[in-house]
Parts: sequence; structure tokens; C-alpha cells
Amino acid sequence: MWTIIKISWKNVWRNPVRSGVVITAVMLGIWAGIFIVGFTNGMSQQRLKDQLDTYTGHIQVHTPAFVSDKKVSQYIPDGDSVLAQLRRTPGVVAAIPHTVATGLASSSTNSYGSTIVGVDPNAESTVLTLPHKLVEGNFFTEDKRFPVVIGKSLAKRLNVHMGSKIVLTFQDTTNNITASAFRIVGIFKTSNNTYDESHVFIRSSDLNNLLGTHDLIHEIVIKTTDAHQAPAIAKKMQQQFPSLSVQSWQEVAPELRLLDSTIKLEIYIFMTILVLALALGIVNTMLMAILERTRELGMLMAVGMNKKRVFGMIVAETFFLSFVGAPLGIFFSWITIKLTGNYGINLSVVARGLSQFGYGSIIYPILDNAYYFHIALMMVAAALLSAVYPAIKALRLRPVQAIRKM
Amino acid sequence: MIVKLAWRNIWRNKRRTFITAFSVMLAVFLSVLTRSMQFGSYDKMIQNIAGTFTGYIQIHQKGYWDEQTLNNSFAQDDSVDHVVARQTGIKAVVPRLQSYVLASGTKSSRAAFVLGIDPKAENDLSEPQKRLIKGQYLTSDNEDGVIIAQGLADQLQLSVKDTLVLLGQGYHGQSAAGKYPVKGIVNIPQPDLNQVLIYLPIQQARVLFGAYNRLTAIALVLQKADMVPQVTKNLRSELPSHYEVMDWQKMMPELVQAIQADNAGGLIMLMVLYMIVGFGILGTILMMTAERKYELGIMIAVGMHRFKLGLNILIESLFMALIGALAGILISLPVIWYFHLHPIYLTGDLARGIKTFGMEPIIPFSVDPLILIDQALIVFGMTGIIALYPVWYTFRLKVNTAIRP
Repeated sequence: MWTIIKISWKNVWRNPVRSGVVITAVMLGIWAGIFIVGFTNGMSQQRLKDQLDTYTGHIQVHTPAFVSDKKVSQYIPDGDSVLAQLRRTPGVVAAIPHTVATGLASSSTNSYGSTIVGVDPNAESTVLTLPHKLVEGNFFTEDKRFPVVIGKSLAKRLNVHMGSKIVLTFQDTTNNITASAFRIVGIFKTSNNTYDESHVFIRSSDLNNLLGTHDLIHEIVIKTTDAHQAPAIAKKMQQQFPSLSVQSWQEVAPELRLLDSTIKLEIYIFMTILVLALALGIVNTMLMAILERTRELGMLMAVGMNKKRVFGMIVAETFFLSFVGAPLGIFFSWITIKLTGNYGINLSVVARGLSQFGYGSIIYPILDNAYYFHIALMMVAAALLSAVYPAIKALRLRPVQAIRKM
Repeated sequence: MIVKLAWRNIWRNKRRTFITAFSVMLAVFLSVLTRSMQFGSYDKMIQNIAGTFTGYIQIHQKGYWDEQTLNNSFAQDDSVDHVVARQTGIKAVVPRLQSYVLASGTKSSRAAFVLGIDPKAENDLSEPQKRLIKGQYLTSDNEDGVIIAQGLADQLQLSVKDTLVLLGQGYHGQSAAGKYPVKGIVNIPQPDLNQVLIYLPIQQARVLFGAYNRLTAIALVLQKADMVPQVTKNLRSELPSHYEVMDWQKMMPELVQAIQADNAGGLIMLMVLYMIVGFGILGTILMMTAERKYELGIMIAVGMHRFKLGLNILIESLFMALIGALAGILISLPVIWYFHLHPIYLTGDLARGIKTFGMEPIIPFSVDPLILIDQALIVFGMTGIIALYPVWYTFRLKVNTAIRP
């Protein structure tokens, strides 16, 4: 057995160009393939992070009734102390309160359905990045009466500008309709037009004044140390506050979770096709090699090498071809992803438009170790399969005819 | 003469030819498969987004899309209908009058989106009748009743036979107010719309907004997405200039951008694939050349010009590439056609996730003939470049070492 393996290894290097091509193909293919996968993965992870930081946060806390009805009367009882306790929970980086009303934003030309979010201007940016997404004006830094910050696309729909007045209409805690005029002090723009159209921001103190109440909290948005830990932390919080509804981003925004798993599916489809292509490349080269070595193989058989050994020799050769390149490819891709993951790849030159739909212009490739392992497994399976066919072909040779040829 | 020689040469050793052509065929097959899945997912995205609510093309009053108010609506005009009817490939014409209002139920109020519809025509686009989960569908365009989306019904705590009150602004700033019995509740797959949508028979909507005989949009459903540019062009030239004709690309730039971003990623993946299949083809051609070393040496020794011999080998390789590329098309066509008709169904968590958005959990395949032709040409070209290696090998071949056994 050992002799056969040794012979195979020497056979591989008898034609260094041919073996070199296969080994290089396997190595480069795996290297480039895994790197692209890491790149795609990094891009979508960043997009996820951007979405969470802009819209949903990592965890949201409401009363269960508010989640379904979104009525002003469904505030979190004793909100301030809940907020203080949540802020002390391990794993929480920051937590912010929102006072929320739903109603209509109108100008003289048009009116549009709107979620009116009352924020604490100083705390908001500790969790959500919206205050940094202003294209005009500021986020309540000047002391003006009844200021409002609205989205760019809503401003367009309402045909209003910085300094214009809009009227916000909503129900108060006793279901009476309240309306008040607000002056636009800031205009924001995110990658999601629908969000920009349907959310306006005012100071929570102003909203509470109009609602005739003090410091109502309908929503607490929490940022944790790691978005992927958020579901676990949310579970613990839910046990701490059984009467409230604690939702991680996966429940608040199922579409983001869907995007996350779609990317995973794409990655695996791509890797399968890649491994298939590699395996078939190896099969073809080996078939060609056997064709070229007909005489030699015939001779070996004629002098008494049995079928088992011929089979073993060809299988071992094919295996060597895959397994010089594959580990190298995996190793190089690991290094490349680690390096570029640290420094980032700046795409701003080639892809200025990326940021418009929620992708950053500097991409940090990243890949879990599990992927490397899966790809290695797939490669082993493919190598096994691709080794068998050429070996069977070799067995079918008839020694006498093979030697006589040429 | 050389071409004939080349053709005969490749059939001299059939196995060798088959293996080389086979590797080219596989390259075409795999790249077609990849591209077909990518294109298939874009087609599905377009179908899911444009084909289920907005329509592929809409006709509005000029300026409506930038400022979507009732003041930018237009009077329904038979001449427009005639122009539309003249076009080929239009599956359905869906008239609409839409605006935002405040909707009130028993206790609470919410902002809502009123879509004045022709109940029959609308079934060709957003398919409210199919999505009905409670109650009855509308029977005429003048009926006193509304169909509301499930999310909105939940928030307003309304169910069938309850009364819905609408308050808002009508045409030219008139106040609009009306009350309607809820006739049915629909489940709209788009989460945003499911929270706000109200279907009102169009004649009732016109009364509500004081917009008599007016429309905000005519949405068109086409038989095929690729007919959009032609129909748009025709409509633009035939309709009077105070109408605007917009295709889905213009109305939904986010969708176009999403597809472009994904396509860029898909192209990079395709490049990696080309690289690998390229190496596979290179491997077989290298072997083929090595195997023929002796033969080539003899040919040169007996006086064949190296240039002619090189050309001969190049033509041989191109023949094999051509056979491979054609075979690649022939083998991929039934495969993608099969998966186009019987898409792969996903299972598990992901499938459930996709279903909640009203989409089918499938991996779609596109059968656009351009995919086949493009990939076959690209792989053929690639093989042509690789085939320069044996030519170079011939030029460099040392006769005395080559013909020594």
C-alpha cells in the first residue's frame, strides 16, 4: 500500500507542468472562491449593521398591546425605572426612550400618514445613527419652539423646505384628535425611502406636552455589544419584565433576517458550483493523463501489477492533485480575509452609488470558521468522487492492446 | 486544405477529442447554470415587486410621480384607452385613483392609503380577490363597501360588516369624508402596504375625493417583462404630451439598484468560475499537446512548415471548442428549462421566512436565450486563447528531442 502511494506521489511530479496546472487551479479557485464568499458576507454583515443602527436597534421593548395597536395610551408603565434597569443589564451598551404617536403630517398641498417619534435629542445618537443622517439643518441643537425633523422624500411629497411649517395630527391618550404646527429644523435621508416618508421626529418633551402627559415612554430601543447576541439578551430581559414585549431585531425586522439567510444560501450554491467545476476539471485532466499513459499502464498491468493496485495508484494520484492545492487555497484565503478584514477594501472609487442602498463604501470581508470547514469537507467529497471515474477508466484498459498501441 | 486536415485530425483520436470537448461543454454548462439562477432571481424580484402592485408601466398626468397628489390627477379619456388598446402584449389595463387619508375604526385612527379600483381589473394586478381572507369581494365599481388590508384591520380593530370612516383632503383641497361598511379583509404580502391599504370601488373614491371622472394612474400589466421598453416607447410617442409614461425601472429605482448591486457581485463570482473552468480546459489541452509531442516532431522533421502546423493545431482546438460550446448549449438548455418549469423548492427556516413575504420559496431559473449564447461565446473565446499554448509549443518544439522515443 505504502509503495503504491509513493509511486503515485512520484507520478504526480513526473509531469510538473500538468500537475502544476491542476494544483494551481485548485489553489486559486479555492482561494478566490472563499475570498469572494468572505467579501459578500462582509458586505451583507455591514449592511445588516447599518440597517440595525439606522432603524431598528438591536432590541426593542414595548407593551404587548402597543406592538399590535400602536396607540398612545399603551405606554410602558413606570417607563423611567424600566429604562434605568435595562441600562444596567449586562451586554447593553445604551438604551433610549421614544414617545410614539401615529397620525398624519400635512402641509398646504398634501397630507401623508406618519409615525411621530418623540426623542431625547441628546441621547438619540447613542443607539441610532439617524441624527447623523441629516442632509440639511440640525437635530434639535438650537432652542426653537416646536421643531420637527422630517425625511427628504416626505418633504418632497409635502412640498415643504427647511423652515416651513407642517401640521401633525394624532390622537392623544383619551382618543381625542390633537393637531399642532411644527417648524422644520432638519431634513434627513436614509437608504429607505418608505421609512423617510413615514417617520417624523420631534422632541419627546413637545409631544408629551401635546398629549397632556409627562414623560410617556412607548418604546425603548437598545444597543448591545454584539447584534448576534441580541436574541439571547432579549430573552433574559423578557424574563425580567414578563408583562412587556421584548423583541430582538430578528423579530422586529424579519426581512433583515431573511436577507441574512438568503445570503447564506447563495454562498453555499456558489461554493457547490465552484467545487463541482474544480472536481470536473480534475477528472478531465486525469482522463487525459490516462490516455497519454496508456502504454505505461498497459506495461504495468502486463508485468503483473494487479487491478486493485492500479486503481489505488490512480485514486491516490487524483487525491494528491486536489490535496496539495486545497489546503494552500484555504490557508491563503484565510490570511487574505483576515488581512483585508482588518484594513478594509475601499470601494469608494469604483462604487460611489453603494452607500445609497445601505452598503458602506469600505468593505471588511469576514467569514466564520465553520465555512472554511464546510468548504474543506465539500472538497474532500468532490475529490473522492472525481478520483473514482478516471481510476475505473484505467482498469478497463486491456494490457495487450495498450502496449501495442503506437 | 488545412481546415480539412484539422477536421480529420480531431477524429483520428476520438477519445481525446471527446475529453477536450467535454471540458469545454462542462464550462459552458456550469456558467449557464450560474447565470440562469442569477437572472432567474432578478426576474422573480421584478415579478414580485413590479408585477404584484405597481405594474410594469404606469400612465399619469405629467408631474404626478414627482408630486403625488390628487391635484395631479387626469380626467379619464377614451382616446387614452384607444391608444393603450392598440398596443400588443398588454395583458391588463388597471385604472386607479389613489390618495392618503386618516382612517378611523371603532376606537382609533390611522393614516391609510386609499386605492380607488375597478374591482374586476384589479384582479389582474394586486389580486385582492385571491388574497381575501375574510368576507366577500367587491362586485361593482360603484358599490358601497371597502376591502381593507389585514394589518390595518387589526390596528383599527375592525372586522367584516363594521364601519370604516375616512377623513382627508380631496381634489383641489376640498375636504373628503365618508363612511363605508367593511366588506372583506385581504392579506397583502408587502408588509408596508399591509399596514395601510384600503381598496375602495373607484366611483366611490371619486365621490369621496370630489374627483369626478378622474384617475391618478393607469397601471399596465404586460405579458412579458421584456416587452416593457417597446410598449413604453410606443405609448410615449402616441399619447399627448401632458401624459407621462413610466416603466418600473423609473418608478422603482431602488429595485434597479438592488439588482445592479447583486449583478456586480454575481459577475465577480462568474469570473472566479471562468478562472476555474479555464484551468480545467488548460489542463486537458496541455495533456493533449504533451501526448502529441512525437507526432508533431515527426511532422516538422518531414518538412511541414511550423506556421502551418501551428495553424492546423489552432484550428483543431477551435473545432473542439466549437463542438464543446454547442454541446454545452444543448445539454444546459433542457436542464435550465426543467428547473424553470419545476423550480427547486426550499425548506426549513428560510422557506418560512420567504413565505411570510408572500413569495414562493423557490430557486428560480431563467431561460433567456441570451444567457446560453453569451456563456457559449465567452467560453469559446476563452478556449481560443488557451489554444494558443499548443501553437506556441509547436513553434518552440525541438525536433531531435521530440522524436526520440
